[in-house]
Amino acid sequence: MYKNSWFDGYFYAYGSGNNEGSYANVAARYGAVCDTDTNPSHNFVEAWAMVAGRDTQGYVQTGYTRGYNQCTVLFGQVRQNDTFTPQSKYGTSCIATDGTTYGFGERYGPTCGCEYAKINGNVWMTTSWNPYSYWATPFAPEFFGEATYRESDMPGNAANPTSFTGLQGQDASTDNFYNIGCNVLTKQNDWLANRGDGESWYDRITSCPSFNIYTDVAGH
Amino acid sequence: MGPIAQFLTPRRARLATSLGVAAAIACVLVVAEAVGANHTSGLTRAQVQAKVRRGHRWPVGGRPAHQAVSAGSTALSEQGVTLSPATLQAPVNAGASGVSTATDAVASLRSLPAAVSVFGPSLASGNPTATRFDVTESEPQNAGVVKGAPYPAWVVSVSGPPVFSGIGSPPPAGTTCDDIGIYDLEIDQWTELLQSC
Repeated sequence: MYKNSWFDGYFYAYGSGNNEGSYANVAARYGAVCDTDTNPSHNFVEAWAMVAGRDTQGYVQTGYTRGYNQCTVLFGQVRQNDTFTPQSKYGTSCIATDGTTYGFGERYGPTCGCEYAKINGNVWMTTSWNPYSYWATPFAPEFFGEATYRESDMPGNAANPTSFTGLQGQDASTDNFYNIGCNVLTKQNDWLANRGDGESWYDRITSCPSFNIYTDVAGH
Repeated sequence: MGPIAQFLTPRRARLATSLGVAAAIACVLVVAEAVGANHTSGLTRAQVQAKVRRGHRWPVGGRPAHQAVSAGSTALSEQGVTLSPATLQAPVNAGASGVSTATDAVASLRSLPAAVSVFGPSLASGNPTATRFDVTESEPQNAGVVKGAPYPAWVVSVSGPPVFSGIGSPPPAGTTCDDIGIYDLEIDQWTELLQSC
């Protein structure tokens, strides 16, 4: 098991909205991780889009991940609820962390009664279960960087941040995607204070509701 | 529940509290700031029930248990992969990229940077096995794989701990999964890296 995760980004406050899917364009950036845990399965940093049940016991997400001393890889992961263990799928090659943008999306399929995990429009994973059978509504779109240690960095820096743009939700009433408005999402930053190295995690709104996450010295 | 914790899930709020004690941190710097609210009304109970009745493939609570990779057929439903007993012949030029035997397949996966990145030490110190299967994919990532068309493959599997995002509760202690690499002998490439739990 790895250490508990820490987050930096924005999400639909639980119990708000009427969503069943999510989408974001996310720039791929390098995220440094701390040195004391050399197990890449335990010590990693990620950026992703996700839709989760209201209670967050279950989720479907796509993004990229980088473990200690390893390259950055695309991934998809689905979890039915806390009773079940996640299922995952990874890219077979490393991706460049030069700001290339990936479309990470989770779409509820009204015909299959399933949730699709998609990257750049391609289906990566499909749930074999109907999220409406397991998750409390409304579902919550979430857009985050994640690190298993707060001594690790959110990917990107002030000059070259990890941008989250084109944020969308999937309306549960129509099954259609729509642009998420400004001042709808809730921020969560688990490491606002300066670390020992003087750096902090940032999550700056750019063109609302688009935002950048990154790690840099205070004041950036 | 204070103004910070109210925006966290109950689980995250508990996590923040417990970590504050366990890590002896005076103040856990978990900050959530509300910048607005969406007042769209949610689905009615009847609307949710209508969606529940739509075509999910397994009955509620009846999803089959984890299928370990075995000599028989294995369906990795979420990943869109089906493993069937090998009947297809590998092409005559298979192995041109250095992967011909089971030993080759294991060695190749152990040196694949993406596999090392996501499977970690399990791949290096575990006991991977390589088995010939016919593989069919419904959601192929590799452009050389045709959706629904079986191909001859080496399937390398090794037991490993679950890798998961920090949402919800950790899987029960002792949970093990199959870390799986699939090598297409027709196009001589790794086509899938999966974790099945």
